[in-house]
Amino acid sequence: MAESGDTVLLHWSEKTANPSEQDPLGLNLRVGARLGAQLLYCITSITPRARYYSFLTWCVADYLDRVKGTALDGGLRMALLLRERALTLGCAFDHGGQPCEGGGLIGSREAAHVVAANAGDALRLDKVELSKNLAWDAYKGSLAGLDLFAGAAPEADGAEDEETDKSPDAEQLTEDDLLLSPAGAELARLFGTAVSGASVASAVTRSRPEVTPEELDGWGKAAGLCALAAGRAPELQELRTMFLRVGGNSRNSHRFRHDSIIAFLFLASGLASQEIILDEVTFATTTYFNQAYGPDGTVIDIEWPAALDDIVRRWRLFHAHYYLSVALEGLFVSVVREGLDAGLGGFTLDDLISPLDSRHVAERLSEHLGCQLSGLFIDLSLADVAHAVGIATDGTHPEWNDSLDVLARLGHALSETGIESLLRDRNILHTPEGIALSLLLSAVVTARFAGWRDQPQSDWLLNNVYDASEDITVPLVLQDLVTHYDNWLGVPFRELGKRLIQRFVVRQHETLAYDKSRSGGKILFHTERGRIIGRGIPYDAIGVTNPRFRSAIQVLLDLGWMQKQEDGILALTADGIECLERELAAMEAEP
Amino acid sequence: MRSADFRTLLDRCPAEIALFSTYAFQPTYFERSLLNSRALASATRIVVLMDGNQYRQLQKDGEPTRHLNHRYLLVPIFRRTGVFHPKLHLLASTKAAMVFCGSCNLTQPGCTHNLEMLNSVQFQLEDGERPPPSVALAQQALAFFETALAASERRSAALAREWVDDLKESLPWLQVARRQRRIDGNLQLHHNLDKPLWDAIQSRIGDEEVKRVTALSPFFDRELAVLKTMQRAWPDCEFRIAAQQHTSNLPTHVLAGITPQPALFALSGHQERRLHAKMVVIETTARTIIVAGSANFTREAWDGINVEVCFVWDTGESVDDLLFDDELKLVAIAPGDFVPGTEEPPTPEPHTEGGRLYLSEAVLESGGKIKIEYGMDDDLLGCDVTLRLYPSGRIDPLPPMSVPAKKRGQATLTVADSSEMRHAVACELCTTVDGARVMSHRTWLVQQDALTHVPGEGDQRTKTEREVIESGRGLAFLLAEIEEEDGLEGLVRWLREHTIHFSDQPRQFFGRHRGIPRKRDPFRSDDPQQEVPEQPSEADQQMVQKAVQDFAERHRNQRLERHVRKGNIYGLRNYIDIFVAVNSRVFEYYVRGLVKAPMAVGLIIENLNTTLRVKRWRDQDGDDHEDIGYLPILTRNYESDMDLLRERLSEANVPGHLCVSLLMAQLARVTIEKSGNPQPQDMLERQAHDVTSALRALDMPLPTGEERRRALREYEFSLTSTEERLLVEIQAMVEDDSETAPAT
Repeated sequence: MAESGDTVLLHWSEKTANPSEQDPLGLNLRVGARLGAQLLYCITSITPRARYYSFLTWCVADYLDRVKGTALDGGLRMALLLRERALTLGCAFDHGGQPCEGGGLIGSREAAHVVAANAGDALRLDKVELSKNLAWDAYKGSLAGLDLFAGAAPEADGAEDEETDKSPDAEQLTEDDLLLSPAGAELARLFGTAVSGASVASAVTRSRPEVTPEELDGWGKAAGLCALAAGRAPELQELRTMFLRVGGNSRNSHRFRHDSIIAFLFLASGLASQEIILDEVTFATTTYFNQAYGPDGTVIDIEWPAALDDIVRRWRLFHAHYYLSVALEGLFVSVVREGLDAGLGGFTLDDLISPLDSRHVAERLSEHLGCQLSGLFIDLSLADVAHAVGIATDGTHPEWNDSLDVLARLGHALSETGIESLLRDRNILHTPEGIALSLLLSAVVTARFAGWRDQPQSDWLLNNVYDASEDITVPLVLQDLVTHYDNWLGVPFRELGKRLIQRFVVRQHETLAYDKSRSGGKILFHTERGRIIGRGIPYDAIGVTNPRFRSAIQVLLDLGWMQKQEDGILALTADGIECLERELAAMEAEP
Repeated sequence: MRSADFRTLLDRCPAEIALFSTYAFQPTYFERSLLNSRALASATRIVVLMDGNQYRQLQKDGEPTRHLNHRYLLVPIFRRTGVFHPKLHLLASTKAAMVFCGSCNLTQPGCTHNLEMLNSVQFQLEDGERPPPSVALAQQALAFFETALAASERRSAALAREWVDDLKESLPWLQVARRQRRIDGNLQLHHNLDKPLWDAIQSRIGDEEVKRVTALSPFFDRELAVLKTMQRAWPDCEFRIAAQQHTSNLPTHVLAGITPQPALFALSGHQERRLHAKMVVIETTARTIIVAGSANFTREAWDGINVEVCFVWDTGESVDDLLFDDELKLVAIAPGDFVPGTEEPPTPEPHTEGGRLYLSEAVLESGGKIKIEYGMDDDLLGCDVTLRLYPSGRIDPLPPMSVPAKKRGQATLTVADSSEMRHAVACELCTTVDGARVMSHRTWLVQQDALTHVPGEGDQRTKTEREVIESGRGLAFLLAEIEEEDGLEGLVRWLREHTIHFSDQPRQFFGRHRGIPRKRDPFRSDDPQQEVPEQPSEADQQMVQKAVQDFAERHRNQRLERHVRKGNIYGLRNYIDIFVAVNSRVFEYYVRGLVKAPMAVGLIIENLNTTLRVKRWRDQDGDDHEDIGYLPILTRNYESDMDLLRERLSEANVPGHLCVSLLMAQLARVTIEKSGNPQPQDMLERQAHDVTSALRALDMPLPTGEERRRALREYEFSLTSTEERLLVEIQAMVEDDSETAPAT
């Protein structure tokens, strides 16, 4: 029949799905990001340099004072663009074309090319092309959070996320209408004293903002990121005060940041004396187990001050979520790999875990765990595995979780850190043992968490679940297992594994895809009639990290509280020691 | 290969009531994608019929759902034999209807990823005019739903039957001419509830000699019974079987033993997509008949064991030419070389109420009464049984309600607080025996009153989208968001489907999109903002360019020209909003390489011409004519009150907008220039002259730098670099202006 415009016959369906690998289970950007946003409020993974906080505040003040309303008023963003370019070029000229130590300068790679190609000629700041992104866009939320802007009224604590900022005021005002708070004005004033004589500061307000390399070099010395750590910046004390400020709006989050900073300083102080490097892994073990590996591999106990007890427990919960994330992403890697191998025919969860039904896997796992498993892994429960590594119980007693917490500490076969390090090895991750270890890690962290339920902070994780159908964290997994099994600790991994993979990996990935696109097509596999079918896109490694850790350490280095020694050890400066002692004393004196 | 997008097809027909049928169903996909579509956004009632065994699996899986049995009604259809397998959808309103019959289940892979076959017929109903012939197809579809629902005793099915009765009353055209069987010449709808598909096809063919049959299917029965039946009926016919390797469960050993042996073809191309389309092409000496819909090439589908629905029609076109090309083709293969898949066609499972404790149905009636149908094993009769309700997204249940222990029966409970029933509510029965918990599968509370959606409540468009449609403002950011979510296809779909409203009423200023930084405590993502200037493929570029061109021309013809015809200042704000929104999108997509420079220049110039043109001419008969644009017509109409006109034009910053749009066209034009080292300001002299002349006629000066920058901010470029580039040019122009005499 002839087809009219309103009749569609015999058409193939279009493929509208478009796979995406970003945060496939939502573990990083949902609960993980919420926890991190509270523990290090206003220090994010993309705001690692302390001097940007004062520089950008000065940019706003400079725009308001000298540009706004004049014939050259191109708006705040134009003003920021010129000033940010001047800073990046200035730092590059100051360092002979190299980026600042510690990095984090927007556009420094392009600036290095400009410096290398420059033969002493003057540069037009409005013409030179550096990064297309403004540092402002990364930092402005943090500046607002630190109360540097006037009129940026806070949202209720924890009640809103960024998608719901629809108040009428927010829609009527623009960035050009921004005003500074007294704290912001003071910070800008102090920064301004560092650059008031610089010719670049004048150039950025001219219609032809032309500057020489010498002028930029001088500007870099005065306004650059390194000047802060070198103690040359007049706003240093103000910045230190700002990062330690508590109270006011968002007081809980400010308090968490304050306490986290003090915890970092305390750790750096203690670890440096034992020649231990404070890195992401050590930070995890010191908060999770109160232990760290010494330089010779021995386990060293950390005794936290009582005043830091609350923040350390919160970081412990953060890391519980982190280890669960590692475990579930490990399983995700396995599911995606199986999908690639199975092709369009797909596979079932039984297919996925059937390789665990092997003596070889049990032997390899016994090797990894340093024990002798009593049978095939797939037939064992967590209680059986725990028994094999010396935690003797059938798992039915409530105290079992406590003994797991006491016995399975750093260095133990069942410690989360140990299992994580095995999973981070792709040669293990991409084998059936990778699936087994991921399942084991999920179960261990969940069982350990069960023993913490009486602690005052234990609901904190659950409170960061906004939607139980989309967010995953440890108490939700625990609740699911407790709901489905009378004694989940005794359930063999054949059954438990399928439950964990189906609910927290497969379904989670498919559900979250709708947050990324309306069609739900940003997935690496889908389920059809009980079979999981891959979409031909690999996902090889676990992507879970603690993204704010590096920023926090860099900020503390910038603020001159920490310094990195030649051997990589982070030690406190004299100012850092003074700050730690003062703040700890004040915390201990609090009722 | 010709293709269509399932959701776009549905969106052609915004429905007041929608009836769906499917074998497998994914609530998440349906709710997050289809329920938000234009097709269903304002539907009063939505019903989905699905296979009973698949429904049980859905209960077991516990898939999260937000709107099930709250915004739409899900009715499981249980069959004693076979499965409920149709994919027939009827979307109807007072003005239009659509009947869809295809192969895709209402699942994410079915609607967006698999290789499926789509067929749909849509028609309009004009007041006072005779309904078109296709109406009978809708009547047949409705009859199918009535018959399918009649077999179910569930309360949800009874509710759906009531709705179908209401539908027939509210849309009387669905009841007329029931006897008309043939539609639109030859298109028919066949379903197995009337008679088996094979019988229907035989009737249609009659005594005609069948020369060739081609069957494309993902599933086959183990004995190839349909093939053998057809061979017996048409012994001289040539048979061709087409399937996909690694997925189709073709029994190649059976095929190899059939004499004469049918030709076998493997589908080649789109290797990452599973074939799920089903089609049989029957060529007789007189015609070619196509059977396409839900029926696999299995005995269960063709002998009436399953419930299937297909469209059947004659075609004069070559099916091979329509469906296959270099991208997707059929390649001859020997049965021994074909690698079949292992998945079997859908088969029924024994239907029993699940477990020791079961909850068949729960219905929330008015007054907070919950009527449940349930049962339990004898050993539970002495136990305390409770009903637990879990509102969508909640971890903990509402306070449990005691349920009388009965072997099988009904009970009515009263929920203390029904304020939590804002979304879907899962419910289950729970008890404890010897310290061990026993729970029923979860089912979803049928929220009877909520299921009839009152139009006007809960517009499915977001606030941002409504504002964009209203004013054009925020378009850049909305499109960037859509592109981020749905890719360029989503962008193109939006551009095709939406037109900014016409308005000649004065309206308040909405404000610019980029607001002041707000303090948010503390849940802010670490995601860095990325600019996305990736080079588009040629196909993407052409697809987007066509959509942008249509969008721009549609707005020029239907909106801007309408303002020109009206010629009053009340529409000025709306005119400028549309002028800005369209030119802004044209220019940004040009910058991104999605619209070619000549096209971008042409589209912006056309909008400038619509605003500024003054054409006068005398025809052969000596009659004078003129064709003048928006500003000249305003100048003429407000000649007696030029102060008012100037005031309004200044308020809307019309001079600034004209110069910025001209600058965008000049920037695009300069890239086409092959010789010399021209500056943007040297380009498009005639249009530049038109701007100056129009302002001079109004006795208005050229805009200042600040006015141009202010105008630019309203263009809302989603790429910062686009705005910066224009700012730099404006800055240069301001400097040039300051070096020359002010132009007034």
